[in-house]
Amino acid sequence: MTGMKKNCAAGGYGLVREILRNLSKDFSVEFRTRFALNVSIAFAVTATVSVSLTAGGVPFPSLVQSILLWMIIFFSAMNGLSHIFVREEDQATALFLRITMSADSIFISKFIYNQSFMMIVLAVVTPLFLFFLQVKVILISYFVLTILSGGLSIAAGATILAAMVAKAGGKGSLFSILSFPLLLPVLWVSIFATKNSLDGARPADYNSLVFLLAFSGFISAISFLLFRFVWIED
Amino acid sequence: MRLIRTAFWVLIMVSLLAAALPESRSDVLYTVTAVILIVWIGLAFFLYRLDRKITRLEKNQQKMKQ
Amino acid sequence: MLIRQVIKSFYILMPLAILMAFLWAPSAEILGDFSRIIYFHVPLAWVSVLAFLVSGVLSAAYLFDKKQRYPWLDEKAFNSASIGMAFALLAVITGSLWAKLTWGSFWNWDPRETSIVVILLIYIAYFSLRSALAGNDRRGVIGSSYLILAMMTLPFFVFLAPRIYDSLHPETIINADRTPHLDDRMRMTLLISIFAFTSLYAYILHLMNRALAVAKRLEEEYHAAD
Repeated sequence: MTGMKKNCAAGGYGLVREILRNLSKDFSVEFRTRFALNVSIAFAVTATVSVSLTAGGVPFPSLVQSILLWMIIFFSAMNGLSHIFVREEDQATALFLRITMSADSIFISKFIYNQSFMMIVLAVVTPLFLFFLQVKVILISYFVLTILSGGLSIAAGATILAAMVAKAGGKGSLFSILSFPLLLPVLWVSIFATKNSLDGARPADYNSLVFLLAFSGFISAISFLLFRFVWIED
Repeated sequence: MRLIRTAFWVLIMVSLLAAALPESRSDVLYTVTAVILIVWIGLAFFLYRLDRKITRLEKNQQKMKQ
Repeated sequence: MLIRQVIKSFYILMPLAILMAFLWAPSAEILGDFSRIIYFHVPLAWVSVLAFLVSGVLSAAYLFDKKQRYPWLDEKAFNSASIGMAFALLAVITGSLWAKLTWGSFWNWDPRETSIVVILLIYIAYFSLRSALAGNDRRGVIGSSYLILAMMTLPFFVFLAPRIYDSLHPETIINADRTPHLDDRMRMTLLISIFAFTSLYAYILHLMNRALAVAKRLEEEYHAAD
């Protein structure tokens, strides 16, 4: 609660400065070891290569390809997105952070970090998948937009869940169990949109993209409101 | 006492229903009804016992406090 | 205390509902006696949704009740959720039996089936989260916020599901013209059955909450004695 009071005194500018400070710290700490990123990308590579290997060079139908793509994206994201909060609890820096920073600025900076993490994972996974599974994308811009907004929604929903899982000690697959029912509509819409872009069925309106953006906005707002309950200990 | 009252109500209901039966039913339906009713009565008895036990615990706790 | 007596009406209503469902209500035109599953499936589904809503409301109340004027709201939400889980499973079983008889397969991702599966997944995640947080004093807050977060995303499913899959769910395909016109006696039976199941749910929740209160008070006394 003291953090919030300090925030009001400092005004909006103080919040922005806090966020930037937090972000630069997060990036430098996370990218010193690159542990989470390495695990995510290694998972994605292993999964893609093993699917391609067992398929033996035979291309799948477009629906199967989009399901596989989103499963690989989802689970490689699940391997890394919780690390930003789990690390704070592991290295016992969470208490210090709780005293010095306001909950709002912590949430926003972790949110931005997770979004950029997700974008890096997408940038590695998608070309790899296209390369190994002989996917022919017909509507390239629609495909890229779908991937980007799907990744946005996944990272948006996963950030607050990461904070919850960190409190539970970051136990194994708990994170993906928690995320799945929340992110099921995202996966659903993204899979069908990806299939359309592979088939070249140009949609008359970009309903699915609008849906994904609306979902990520909605879930970010809700998690922003709920975060202080999860984070602040009294 | 309450159990007896409930049983009495059920008896009244059964006889009313039996009087109001609209058409003839197959024997299977009667069997199914009987089986489900027996299962239900067992469950209700279990719930009733549970309620009594919890009430007793609550009363004990009240007494301990005083 | 009148409400406690009203809740107990299920002792009478339940056997009444069973008798009415099997013997009093007429059988439907197409499905015949199989249609009698409606008097159990619909109330079960209704109660599982009700229990889900109650646990969400209790969780929200827990988060906003900072001074803890109402004790153990998170545990009560958990109790409601666990009853809801049991009822949802029973609703799924009776529903898929009915689907087998009418549509020919146990499962075909109808929007209703999808939404009940999502509710089950949320429950499973919630229970695993709570068991992972055992002994942690943040358990109530984190479990409650997860339940609220998960419930907030349900409208997206309601919006989405019918656009992806067509519904076969009968608002009751039991009569020849496929409209939900129920006979008066059928409607009466369904109503009684819904009341019976709702009061059964309320009674079990009430029992669990009382047992919870007894256990918590015992714990407090134990700690006070130290």
